[in-house]
Amino acid sequence: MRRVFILFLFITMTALSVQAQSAQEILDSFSKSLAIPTIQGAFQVQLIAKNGDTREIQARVYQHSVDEFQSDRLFLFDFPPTVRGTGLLMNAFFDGRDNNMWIYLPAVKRIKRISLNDSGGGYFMGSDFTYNDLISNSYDKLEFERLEDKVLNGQDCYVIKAWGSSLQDRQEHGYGYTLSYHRKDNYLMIKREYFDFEGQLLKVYATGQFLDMSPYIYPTEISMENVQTGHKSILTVTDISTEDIPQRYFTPRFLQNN
Amino acid sequence: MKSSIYLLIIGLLTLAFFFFSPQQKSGVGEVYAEKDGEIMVPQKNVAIVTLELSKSGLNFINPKDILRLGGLQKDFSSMKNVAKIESILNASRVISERDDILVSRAIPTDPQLISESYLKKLSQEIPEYPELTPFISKDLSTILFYIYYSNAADPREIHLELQQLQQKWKNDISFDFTGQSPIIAETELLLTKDIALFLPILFVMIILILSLFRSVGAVLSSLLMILVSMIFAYGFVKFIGIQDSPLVLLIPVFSIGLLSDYFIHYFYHRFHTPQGQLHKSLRRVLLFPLSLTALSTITGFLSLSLINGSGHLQLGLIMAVAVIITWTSVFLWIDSLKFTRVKNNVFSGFQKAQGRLFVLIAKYRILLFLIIFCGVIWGGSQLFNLSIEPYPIEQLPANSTIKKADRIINQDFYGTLPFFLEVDTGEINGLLKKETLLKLNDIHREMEDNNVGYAFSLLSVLKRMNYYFMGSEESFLSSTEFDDVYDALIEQYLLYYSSSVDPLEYESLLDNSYRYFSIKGLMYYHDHEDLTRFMTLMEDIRSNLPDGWTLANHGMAAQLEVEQTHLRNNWVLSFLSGSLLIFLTVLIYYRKIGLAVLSLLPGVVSMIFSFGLISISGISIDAFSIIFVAIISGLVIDYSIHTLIALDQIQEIQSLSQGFSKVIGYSGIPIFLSFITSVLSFSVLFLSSFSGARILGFLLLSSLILSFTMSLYLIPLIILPLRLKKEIRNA
Repeated sequence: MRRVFILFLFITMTALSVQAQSAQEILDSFSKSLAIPTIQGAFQVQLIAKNGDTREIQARVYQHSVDEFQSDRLFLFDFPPTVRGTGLLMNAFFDGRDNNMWIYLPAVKRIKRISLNDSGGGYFMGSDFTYNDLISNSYDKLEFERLEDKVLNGQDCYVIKAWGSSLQDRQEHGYGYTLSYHRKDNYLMIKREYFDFEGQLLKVYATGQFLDMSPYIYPTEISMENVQTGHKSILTVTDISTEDIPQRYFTPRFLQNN
Repeated sequence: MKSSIYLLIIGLLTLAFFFFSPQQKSGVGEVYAEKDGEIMVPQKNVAIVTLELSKSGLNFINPKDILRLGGLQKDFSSMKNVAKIESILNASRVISERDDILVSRAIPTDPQLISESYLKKLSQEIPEYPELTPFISKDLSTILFYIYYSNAADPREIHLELQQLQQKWKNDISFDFTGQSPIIAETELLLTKDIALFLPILFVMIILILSLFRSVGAVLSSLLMILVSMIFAYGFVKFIGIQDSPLVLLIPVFSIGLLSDYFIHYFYHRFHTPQGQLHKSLRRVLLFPLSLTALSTITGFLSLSLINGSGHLQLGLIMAVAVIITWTSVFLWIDSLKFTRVKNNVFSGFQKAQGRLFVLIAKYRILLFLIIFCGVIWGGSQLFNLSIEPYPIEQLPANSTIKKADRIINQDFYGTLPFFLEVDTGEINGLLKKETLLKLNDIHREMEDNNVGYAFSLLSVLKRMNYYFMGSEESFLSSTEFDDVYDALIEQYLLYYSSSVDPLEYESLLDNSYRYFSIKGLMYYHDHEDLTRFMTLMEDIRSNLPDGWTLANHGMAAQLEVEQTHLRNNWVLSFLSGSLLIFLTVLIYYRKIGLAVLSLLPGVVSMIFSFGLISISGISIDAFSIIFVAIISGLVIDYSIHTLIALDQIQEIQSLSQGFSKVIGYSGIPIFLSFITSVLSFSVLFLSSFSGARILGFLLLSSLILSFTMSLYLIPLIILPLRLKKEIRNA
């Protein structure tokens, strides 16, 4: 009887301790797991239209976390051959500063700086991923609620609902609300559902493969499907390396001279 | 017992239809406007608000006024299901300065920065930024707000909330609005108001007409079956997944006007035909004329579905199913009920008066024939002057908010009717060639010369990219500097552009293989002549395309073109199919080709007369007015058949007056009652605040009078004198 009581107490305490994790804590843990100091790899994005027509873009990607408030990313495009040499450098800031983007077009041999925040969030190279989907970890203007846990693909998951704090924030966010599914064992977001302003499902983000580099995780295959339009994007990263990347890579000059 | 089973089956089926109807998806919920073609056509659920600044005492260069407009925009944002608002207040302009592409708000978010001098400077710079011109007119007098809703937002809610905001702001800022959802909702609203007025009048009227039979049972059973037929038919159409449209609101008017006909004929013969005249059972006597009436009405209404737009399929199917249910109800249920037979002949005075009138008409029949002949020639000559108007917006009241907003957009902006052209270059990567873009430039120039409105294509995008990177739009085509790397230049510009737009928007410009591209935009639309002008221009462009290229028209302009063609052809098809039906049936039944030809006469004459009237009244054939063909085809056949049956029933005649009295006694009275019911039913359309319904009422009424007169008088006027002469000769 005593054993049963102890077992019951243990289960209850464990459940309470898990329940005690707030939505913010789960998201913070997820953000930390992604904050790899340096990573590089071969990057491929497939853009699949509703009629099945596919367009493919390939690039080399270099990522470097400067500090907790800044992350730099460099994309050097290889495919299709007509875009070879095109470069894209992004400085993402998580302290309220405007994100920056430099783009170099080899055909005109010119480099231009573009302010990302004012370009409406933007879509990453014609894919269904917005820049915010890929680089933002700022949750300032969102509210969160932890919903009942669920099992997804055999994995125990936390479910977090997020929505804009105000109507304006919601409209800037672009969605009515989102539901994120984070694995309990490593906080990886394996699925996110985006709902439109009438509560209809709009887009589904899903993680396929991922690389476990404890304490970090890097999703190597993610997809985003717009269920209302049928358009789908699949993003794959291969040949991952965490070797140091020279700082000069993250400069506009490097874009031009590469 | 059998009759109870019939009612039970109908009841159960009706319940099943409503319980198992598929969930209706709102039409505006579709993200693709249509699925034909290689490039998808995105459809956004948008309402456009027009605001004439001077009418509200506002000035664009006054900072306080800008802040007031900000308050209004905030209210627009707060409406249900609004996903995004675009206006000059939050529009961004792209400034290309040296190595920077600066995307900045035209009007800063910080109110401190909005000064009069800033606004003055901005107002001078606006023409330099094409991204700002959709939001403010050249003379800065009018601004537009584009309100984007989630795709499944209900048009009625959108309309209602905008109306509420109009009321809220009316003392401060006056504005109007338009858009696909508001147009649908406004039409529905006008017709719904009418229905609230029509229905009680119609019910009182049908009760009065049926009361002439002096049988409570007849009145109640008729009303019950009309209601049951309507509900069953609506449930059936819902069950097969057809969406509601504004035209569904006309169903009660049509149902009462047309379905009552079957009960009037049935009860007249049941109560008032002398038993001696009935050589067969009542069911057998009425089976032929009522079946033919039903068949012709069904044919007429089903042919409406060929218009393929504006709810005609729903209207046609509901009425066809309702007619079937009414027809079966008369023979399977009403016929089995017991009614007290009224002994006295309530219509004897009318019968005698009609006989005398007929003699008078017969006396001058040559003159009448001559008038009819001249009328047919006149009506026929007007056929080619008919104008076909496929866009229902013209039928809304001139002072409606939608008409006002449309007028402003047509005057100060780029027009209101979206078009979407898909061009096939015939080869993969065809778009990466300079020649392709030069040709596209020619097409753009041709459209500008013809003052189409506003056209946007891949070329517009590439020129703008060239401006950002090279400082000039035109050098993209005129310079030879990049000719060796033109394909790379295009694709690199596109790679950059794809980052700033929704993937669906990007893929509406070109396909993944770079073979197809689109030219999309807005055209000025005042009436159907603008559509004709646009289509003629498309034909010109098509004839000048390079070998292997094709151009297809999609989107709303194309839909209107299809609807216009259907409107032009449908009445002919509807009328011909109805006429063929009556011709064959009369031929089979009487085995007399002359009689079969004669039976067509009232329909042909009244239809040609009606089209003459339409032409000289300046009425356009549109989605509403075309319905009159289906109704009149059914009614004229009904009147003709009953008249022919009556003539067939007469054993012998001594005089024209006596012969015609017999026709009146047998079929004329129910025809007359049916005519009166229809006239009264369709007259309520004149009370409508919606001009489409009023025009339909006018056409129905004029055609109805013509059909009735031609069927009841013209046929006997031809047949009776011949029979009388024959009988005198034989005697």
